Amino acid sequence: MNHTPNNENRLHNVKREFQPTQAQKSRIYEQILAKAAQTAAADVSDYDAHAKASAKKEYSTIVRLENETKPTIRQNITNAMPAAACVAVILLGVLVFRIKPPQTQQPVHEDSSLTTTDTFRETLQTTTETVTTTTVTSDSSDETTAETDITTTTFPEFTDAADVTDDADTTEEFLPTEVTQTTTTVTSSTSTSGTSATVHTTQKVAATLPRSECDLYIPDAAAKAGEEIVMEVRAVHDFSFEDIKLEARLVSADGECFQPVTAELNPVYDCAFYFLRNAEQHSVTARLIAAEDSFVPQDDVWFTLTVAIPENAKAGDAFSIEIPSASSGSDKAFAQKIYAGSITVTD
Amino acid sequence: MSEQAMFKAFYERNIDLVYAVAMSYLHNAADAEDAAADVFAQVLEQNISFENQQHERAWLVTAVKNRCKNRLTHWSNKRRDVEIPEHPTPDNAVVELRETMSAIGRLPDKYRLPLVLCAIQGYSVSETANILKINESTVTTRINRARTKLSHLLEGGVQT
Repeated sequence: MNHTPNNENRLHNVKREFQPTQAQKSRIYEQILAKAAQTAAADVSDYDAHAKASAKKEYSTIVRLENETKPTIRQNITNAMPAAACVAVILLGVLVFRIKPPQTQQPVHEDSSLTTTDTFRETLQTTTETVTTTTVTSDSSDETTAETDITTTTFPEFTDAADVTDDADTTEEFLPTEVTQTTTTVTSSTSTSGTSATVHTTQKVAATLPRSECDLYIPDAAAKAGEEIVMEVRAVHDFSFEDIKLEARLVSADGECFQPVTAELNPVYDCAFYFLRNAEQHSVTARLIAAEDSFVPQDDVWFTLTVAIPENAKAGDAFSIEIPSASSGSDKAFAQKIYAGSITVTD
Repeated sequence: MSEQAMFKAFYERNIDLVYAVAMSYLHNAADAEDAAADVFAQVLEQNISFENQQHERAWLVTAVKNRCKNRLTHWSNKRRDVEIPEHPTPDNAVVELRETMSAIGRLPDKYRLPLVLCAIQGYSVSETANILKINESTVTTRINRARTKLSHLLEGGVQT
């Protein structure tokens, strides 16, 4: 090792560069107070803006649904007309057939030598799942022998509900967290870049919702069909030496699932952050693990979630991001209050 | 003691540490001031409480470190040169200072922080270990390696 005196002197000389002057200290302190005051004011105004945006979105959704529903009902009635006519004709035919005089039926002669065996079955199905079959044999003479054969069929018993629950627990990877979906749109800044067919839109969350309002914040967004959106997601938690697991999936209004393309943690953190894909459930699970001799701060953690809007989506369609599971440490749910935004498809 | 007075005391107690860490990453006084202000503002806004001074320092160092990394990932900061404020010193001293700052900036994180805290800020090995949440022996090893790397960088010539 060659720690020359010259280098030590250099190190000594550089000390003052790392020391703030008194003027700098005062300036920083003023800056802190100004920032704090600004954020306090922004929290109030953002909260108001969010409430207004929610109300506006709800109203527009109602209007859209009304407009969409009216022609649909009319169309349904028009479509149903031929089918209704056919049903009426069939019913009429059945009625005419039933009303016919009974002369076509073969009369039963008491003195006939013929022996008629009428077998009829009566099936009784009760809550105990028992089927009873009765066979009656009648002779042509007055002597009637009635033979009743009662067969009881026992259906397999249902599995105990508790067993089912236990099985379900073992197959679940994470503790389920209450899924919260909202259809509220917050006005968000959208920047578009690139000249290729795929336009990347990054939604910067900033402080659109006060930090105290949610543990996990996924912003609202607007996108075109086929577009890929990279969203910054904020998770508020004490992440020191803990790992988080987060599952997210994109769901259309009619419940169809789409797999988010990728998700990655802000690369500045000294952590391994990887995602487990679950093709069956169309979900992506994010997992954050603190790397050796480093830890993430007791602070907000930001990561990005990339979702692709399906090509066949139409303007006005809405997609939501579901968080089926979000847990931390020993599988305890870290996100009790989740804001999972919606994505509105635009022209 | 009022809340404001308590915060002021907290600020006075830690500003040197936070600024030094910010400066070791950003090499620019204005950016370091901004980063430091951001971290303290966060403490004030979110009313973060600390268990003790050791926890306080550890939190601040990690918070400012991540904030600086966030800034550095931004495109506008990627090609910024080391800024040395004007000093009433000869030109060769300024050049030397610039080289040293640049060399410190080129050290990997794990070597840079122990060096800055221990050799520049004057914290003991034990205090540095507590702040960085690593063993004391690790701190000593890293400081030695940091010095060696620094020597190589300075002797090999550092482009600023």
